[in-house]
Amino acid sequence: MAEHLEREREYSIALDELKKRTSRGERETAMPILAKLMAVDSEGEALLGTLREFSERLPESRFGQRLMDKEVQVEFDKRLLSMSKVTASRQEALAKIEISLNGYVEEPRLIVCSLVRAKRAPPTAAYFLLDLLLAEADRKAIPGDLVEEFATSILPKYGARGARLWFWTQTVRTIATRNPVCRWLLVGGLVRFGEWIFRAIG
Amino acid sequence: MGNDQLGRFEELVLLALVRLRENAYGVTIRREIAERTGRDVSFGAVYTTLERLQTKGYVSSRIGEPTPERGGRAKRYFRIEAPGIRALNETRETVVRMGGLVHVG
Repeated sequence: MAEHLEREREYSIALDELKKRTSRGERETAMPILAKLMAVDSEGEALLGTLREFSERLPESRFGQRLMDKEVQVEFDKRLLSMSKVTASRQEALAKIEISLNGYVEEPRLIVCSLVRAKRAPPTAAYFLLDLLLAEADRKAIPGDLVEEFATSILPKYGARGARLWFWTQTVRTIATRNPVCRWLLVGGLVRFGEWIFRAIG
Repeated sequence: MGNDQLGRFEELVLLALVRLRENAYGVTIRREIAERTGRDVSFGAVYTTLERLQTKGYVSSRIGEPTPERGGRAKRYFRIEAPGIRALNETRETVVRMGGLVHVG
């Protein structure tokens, strides 16, 4: 578990550095960082392989940018979608990418970053549960508070997996406190079990 | 003195509202309590207490604008009202009368 957290931290630092360098236009010096980033995430590595294969078939337009024609774009999307571990959150990222693919595309490898980054969102199932089990008044504010705390405080501190676990723990605790039926069902074991796991990885 | 004695957590929540003034909503209230007391409190516990205080007329709330960084959800801002300040002062005065500001033992 500690090794995983170390990898997540490494990933987070590399991603920040990559963003800084690409925003300054230093694409060449960003590449070694990108390689490091991909080595941290095996799914990212697999996606990178697919993108490399496609980028070789694309006509060069100008330095650092390649033009994707519609046909290649469609095939590209199909390949990504057919990959075994394309989750719902990654599909969201694909939708965003589709917009950027309508014109000139930046380095294809940067697209991979947004795909990998997509898993750093709150768990959709937990979010759905909050919507389902909270009263109308709570639905307006509590899920938003959880998302804000997740993104601004917990994710940088514990990494993607730890933050998602935190989100689940908070979801269970919140529902157990705010929903009378769930409180009756869940008080005790489940909440304490979630807290114990969170402390164990913290 | 009236009967407006507050529970320990209610007192902490009201003190957080006093400190945060116009920026008191779920995230900042929870963070304020966690940072100053070292307690990890859940959003559910914070909202349950705030709801109870609102029923007593100690706090009021208003809904802000939804923002994209909160997944399109709005913030619910809370504000301490005059009865809340009175209850807070009474509780603290009781503690002082009992010698609660002196280290015991």
